Amino acid sequence: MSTESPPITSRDCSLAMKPDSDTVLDPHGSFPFLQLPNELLHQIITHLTNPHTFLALSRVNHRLRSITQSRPTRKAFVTLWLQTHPYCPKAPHLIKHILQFTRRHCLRPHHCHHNLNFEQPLMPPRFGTGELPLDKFFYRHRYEEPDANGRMSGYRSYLRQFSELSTKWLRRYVVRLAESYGDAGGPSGRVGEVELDVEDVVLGYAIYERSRERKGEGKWEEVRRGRLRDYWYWDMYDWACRCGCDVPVEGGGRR
Amino acid sequence: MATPSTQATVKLQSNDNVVIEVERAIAERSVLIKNMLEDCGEVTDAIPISNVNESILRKVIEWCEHHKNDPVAAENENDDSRKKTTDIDEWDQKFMNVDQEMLFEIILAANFLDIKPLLDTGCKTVANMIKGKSPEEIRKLFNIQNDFTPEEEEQIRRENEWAEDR
Repeated sequence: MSTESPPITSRDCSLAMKPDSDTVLDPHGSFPFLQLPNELLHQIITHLTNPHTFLALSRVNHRLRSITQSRPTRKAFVTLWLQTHPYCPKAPHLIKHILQFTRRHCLRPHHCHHNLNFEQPLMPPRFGTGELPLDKFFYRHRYEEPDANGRMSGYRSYLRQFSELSTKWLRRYVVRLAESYGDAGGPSGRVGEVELDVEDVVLGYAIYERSRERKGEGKWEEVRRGRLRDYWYWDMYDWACRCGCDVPVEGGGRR
Repeated sequence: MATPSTQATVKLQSNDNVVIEVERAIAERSVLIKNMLEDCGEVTDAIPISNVNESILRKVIEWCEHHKNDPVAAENENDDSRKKTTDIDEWDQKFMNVDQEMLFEIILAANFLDIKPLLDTGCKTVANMIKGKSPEEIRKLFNIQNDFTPEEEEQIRRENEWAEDR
């Protein structure tokens, strides 16, 4: 039954166009953004797809700044961004892993020792790569010795390839992550448990955008999705991060 | 629970005192109304929707009607139900193609009536309006006063420097 034109049993038949409202709307008709309660501004902000817009909002005025700096808003934004840019909803998220990995190793010592002589490898996670030709990321990236500043320059060069961000940018980014921990000693625990922030989404966004472009160019097409898992098996000792794991084998250890 | 599905329609009363009769299934897209009906069983009186005027209520009902067969997200699913996509489907895009004031009222009404998918669509619509804009452009768009002192502005600019010059 359609209720397209429902019967109007109007008690007071003044079909007033404009009801009294305690909201005074802007006469120029621009969206009265700031009249929304914080809770709804929070909702809108978490729906942004571009982290640069998130950062831009934090520079608009005091109120938006305090909302964009609040932990729940940042967290919800990161969570929703990762959920709306997934490639296979049932598998762990590949970009998320890259971001967590990068953050996990932003402080020295940056390379894992745990990948050596490891006799009881964990099962490699099955990432959802979906449409993203990120296979080469894991194929290529190795744990490098830290550079003179104690940072992972080699790893960063892979990040550069995958995100098209400049080396300078990536250095600033890693320094920023490291500084954000202050004396607290940086992230600990397993890579998969590292908590991400808006900064990480800036990197994730670049990887995501770049990967989509590359796919368009077609030159990554030859990398078959199914081979990703093979790479894991071949290269597992090189890339599988054991940080935070109890490793009952000599040469491994808890970091 | 004790309510058999006998009650086919419910009456909703806008804050400007217009009563609109709606199919119960449609009205129940609103979690607020759904819970109310579950708690009260049979409701013959018009339910006052005190924060929403007639034109917005009709608009919201129109949305609920179009989406009446959508699967309802489980209550504890919260974030997962928002998964999938940042896109807004075509019908919703057209639906949201209203003046700014109406959009604003729809968002408030969806929030009040607790219609999460409609609220999400509204939020996405506004988020799309801001997409890719600079702080100054956002101020212009929404007519927002810059209330930072020059010192604060400089400090914020420096804080955000890392993200630029890609």
